[in-house]
Amino acid sequence: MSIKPLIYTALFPLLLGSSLSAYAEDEHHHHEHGAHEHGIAEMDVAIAGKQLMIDLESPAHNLFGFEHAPQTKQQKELFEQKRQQLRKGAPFILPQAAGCRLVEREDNLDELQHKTGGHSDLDFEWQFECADTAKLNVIDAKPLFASWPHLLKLRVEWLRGGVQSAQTLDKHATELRLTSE
Amino acid sequence: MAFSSLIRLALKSAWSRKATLILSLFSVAVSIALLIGVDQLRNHTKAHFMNSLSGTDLIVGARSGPVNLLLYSLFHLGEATHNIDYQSYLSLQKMPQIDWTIPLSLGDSHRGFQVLGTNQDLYRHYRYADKQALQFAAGKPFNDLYDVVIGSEVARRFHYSLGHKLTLAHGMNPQHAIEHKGQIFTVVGILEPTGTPIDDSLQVSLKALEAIHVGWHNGAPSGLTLTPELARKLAPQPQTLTAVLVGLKNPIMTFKVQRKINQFADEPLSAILPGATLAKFWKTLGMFEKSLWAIGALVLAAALLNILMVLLAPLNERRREIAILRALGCHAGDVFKLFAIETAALMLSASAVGIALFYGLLNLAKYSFPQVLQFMPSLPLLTTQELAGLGLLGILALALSLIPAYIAYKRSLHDGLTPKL
Repeated sequence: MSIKPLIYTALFPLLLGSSLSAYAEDEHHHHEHGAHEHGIAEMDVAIAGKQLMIDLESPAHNLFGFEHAPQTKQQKELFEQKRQQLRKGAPFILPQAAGCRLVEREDNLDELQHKTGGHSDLDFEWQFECADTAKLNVIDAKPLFASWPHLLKLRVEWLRGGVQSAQTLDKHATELRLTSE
Repeated sequence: MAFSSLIRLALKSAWSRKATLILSLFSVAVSIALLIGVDQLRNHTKAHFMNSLSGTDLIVGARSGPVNLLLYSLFHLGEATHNIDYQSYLSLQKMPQIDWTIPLSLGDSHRGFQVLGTNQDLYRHYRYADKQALQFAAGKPFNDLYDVVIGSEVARRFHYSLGHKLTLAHGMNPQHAIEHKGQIFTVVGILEPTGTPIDDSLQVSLKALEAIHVGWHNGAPSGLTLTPELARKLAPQPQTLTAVLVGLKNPIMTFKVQRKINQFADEPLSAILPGATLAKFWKTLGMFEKSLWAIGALVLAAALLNILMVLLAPLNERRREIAILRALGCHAGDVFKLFAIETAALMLSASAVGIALFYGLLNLAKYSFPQVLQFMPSLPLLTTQELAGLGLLGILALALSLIPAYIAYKRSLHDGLTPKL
């Protein structure tokens, strides 16, 4: 019994090495920016000065359940409803104390209307101006998960003041924590 | 009974059963060494990686997995990535959002230490820990084609000083590397220690790397070697690079620039956020770390049970011992104290042996895998967390010792002096 842990301790660097290459492999398949994987979306959050920028890239399927121009009456209604909802604001809850105000938003929703086949990605960008970005310690993506029925996982990379980090959100853990560690 | 005589009694009694006790002491010590090792390794790896990245917004390399690119370009770990074209580096420099760049070219070595082909931007823009710049302990940055600047660890290991002459070798493995004979470099600068991989590197100009590889084909040397005079004159422009560190004018542009670089038209590039990539990497390592912890915890549980067993097993033999003690006027509480003292002594020595074992194994591992564990100090201090863990373990063991103590006490009342037939 007492020899086993010895072996593990001695082997640690080797295990470390092999887990690295395994991970790199995994990264290659799933994590390339612009990868199209249903159920998964990527989000970038950048904070500097008074600015907060959020960028979301997701397969259209996560929002609508289809990736082509809406055809049936039902699809057209759904498309219209989602478009109106999304253009009203940003699907995030920001801390009151930060005093953030949406100053610009962009999306490529209209492109979908001309799409006949193949995969289709949606791209959203929200720009906020905040009174005090120091108070911006958490961004809750609950409304996003609520309105995107097929979204399961949101992979977030974020940066602020020289700190960069990453976190994966899902329906049960919707809060992005903007603190190092 | 006086406490000092109780201690003497307990230790003497334990000594008479030393074989089994020492075995269980070692099983506890091994698990303590393992748990401390896992914790220390995690803390130091994290600090080391974090320290090496300060102020670099993006790392650009050939299209590959982000973790691979990060580990190879900055920490010289894992598999080599493809090179990128030197022209791409020049185009990067022209992007309006980019403030500074540091080119990195890897692949050569000197006695097992990484040779870093770069330019003087390394000394101008590279930052580590809390935005600290590289400092020269002696000398100055490379200037001539055959100048080399060495990291603090290289200087310390080989006792190199300014003016020392050395050669470089192709490849990383000291046994198989092919020496670039006749291309003698002179040490012109020695850096202060930084606690980053820079300490373990030798830096030369990109042109120097081109010059020593003139005429090479597919990683094999040719008969053609340039004389230093000719090389200085003819030194070709670099063709390729391993990676480029990038600093931006405004970090809020990081993702925009990243996307732009990822869609670079001339060749497939990937730009990664070093901090975010590291965070993802920790998450993967976290699972690995947890499994190591689980192994450690299981071994520890087994070791504690083992201690309990070692205390329980000789109870039959110790029946006499305890009954006599009681008959001599030893208080019931003293019986408990006897067991507690024995356990405390066992745990204290197990902790000491465990810590010694950890230091021993660490240095053995450092010796066997110097590249992987170079960031671990030889005698790292234990954290308060680890010490608290050891304390908690001691308390747990003491609590466990109550069980045999209680049984011994009960028995001594009932059948203490009655001889068994």
